[in-house]
Amino acid sequence: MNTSNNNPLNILDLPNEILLNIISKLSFIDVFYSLVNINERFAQLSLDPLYIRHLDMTVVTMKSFFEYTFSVDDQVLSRICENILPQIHSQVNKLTIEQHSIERILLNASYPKLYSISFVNFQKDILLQYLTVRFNSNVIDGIQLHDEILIHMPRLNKFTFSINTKLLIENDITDITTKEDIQHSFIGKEFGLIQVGSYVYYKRLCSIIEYHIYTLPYQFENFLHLNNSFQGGMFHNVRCLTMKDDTHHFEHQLLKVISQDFPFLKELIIKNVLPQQKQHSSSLITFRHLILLNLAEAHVDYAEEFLVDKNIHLPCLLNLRIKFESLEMVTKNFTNDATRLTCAKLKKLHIDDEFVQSKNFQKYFPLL
Amino acid sequence: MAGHKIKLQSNDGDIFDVEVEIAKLSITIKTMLEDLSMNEEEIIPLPNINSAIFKKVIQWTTHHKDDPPLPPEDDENREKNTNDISSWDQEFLKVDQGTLFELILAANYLDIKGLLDVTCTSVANMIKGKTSEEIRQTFNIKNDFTPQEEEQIKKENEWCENK
Repeated sequence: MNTSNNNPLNILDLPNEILLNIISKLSFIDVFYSLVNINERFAQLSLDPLYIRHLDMTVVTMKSFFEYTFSVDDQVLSRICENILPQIHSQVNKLTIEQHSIERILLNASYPKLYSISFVNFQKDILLQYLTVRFNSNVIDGIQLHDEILIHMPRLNKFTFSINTKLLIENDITDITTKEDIQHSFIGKEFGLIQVGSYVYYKRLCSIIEYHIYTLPYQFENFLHLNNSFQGGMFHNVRCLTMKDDTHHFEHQLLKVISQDFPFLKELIIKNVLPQQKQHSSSLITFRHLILLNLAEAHVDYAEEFLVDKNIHLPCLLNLRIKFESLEMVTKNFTNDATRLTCAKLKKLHIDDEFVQSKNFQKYFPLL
Repeated sequence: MAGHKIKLQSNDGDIFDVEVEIAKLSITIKTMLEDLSMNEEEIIPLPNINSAIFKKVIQWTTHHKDDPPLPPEDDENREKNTNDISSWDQEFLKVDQGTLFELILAANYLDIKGLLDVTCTSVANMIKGKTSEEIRQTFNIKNDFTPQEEEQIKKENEWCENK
């Protein structure tokens, strides 16, 4: 190493490993705007495959404290698209793009090794526009997913989905897509061994038909609009479940199935205004991990079902949303011992109506 | 062990008494002490570092001895926080380019991640926002592209030269 002060070190005396460390601290734009043209060595280092695995096309430019932009200068962008992309596109694993550059970056090159795209600073509606797939048919089934999505992604390894569709039936109900049709539509296409769950729910009274199709095992944390046509399955990943049915009440037995098939549920929302039919075979149900229960759009019977500890045991419940009227009724004006155990543990109560807290109320909910 | 000192020798012969805890911020020295179970009285030679630079390194490690450990480097936090240099470090790094590069090499040899990071960041900040020609001037770099390559680059840049 040269340590003599008479002959000071030059940046080019640093080993490549260190120059790459310095380059890694620069934005992609800085590197490809200036560094790549300095000399042969910098040109080679700038195009180092390790560095360009992640093509980050965003750069933060502060115009003022409150006004800043992520956009790359137009001319710099053009130069990158025309001169740099052709050299590096095949090595890129990750892309970070913003609204201004998305089309030019995506349309100017193919990215065969890409596995991740991040979208930065997009306006919501514009982003949705890019991410929305328009389907020609009303019902999204295997054929639609194949023709509109999979066919454009020949290298896709894994495809997981959960799709809810709601259709208004105008008059003819004879050509409704059935559950069998949906299951059948996934056979023979390039879905491989993918297992698909589905249910179809026809609400005759309001001429609405709802479909839910999803890959199994179900990978998502949310499950929307489960209704009486649910036929079971294991949903270990689901943390938040909305149960909604306008035409049939939820029976105790269904809730039991839910507690078993969704064992790690943290949040449950019940939307059903129909009274339950009282049953005598009330075996105890436990929602072991439930923290939040929303009964704001539920009939008072569900308040009784859930808050009476002998019907449903909720050892972790902290948070309840409910109509005041239902709460008052089921707790018998905050004196009922059958609901006391569950209520006494609550730390938060959301009641949309206005009400006056009586002494009994305060005693009944000591942790609020 | 606090306050214990070891002897380190720079390549121009100077011997430095350095607190073990401070010296161990260098992974290279830490490994020598632990793996090679070197005797405390033994003088550890540092053949790659002169005394002027080693003084700077000790100054930096002494100031940063109580810093929390740096997060492990991965793709996510490898990103460019180029302006994040504390005011103490900025003052510390007000040195000529030759010294800065020597500090980088010393930090690299001694394996002191924090010092390597901040010195490399300092160089990155000198590059940021400059044109290629400005960078060549700043660092005294010769343009070694062939005339044909140069022509090609000029052509590519023609329309953005007047930026």
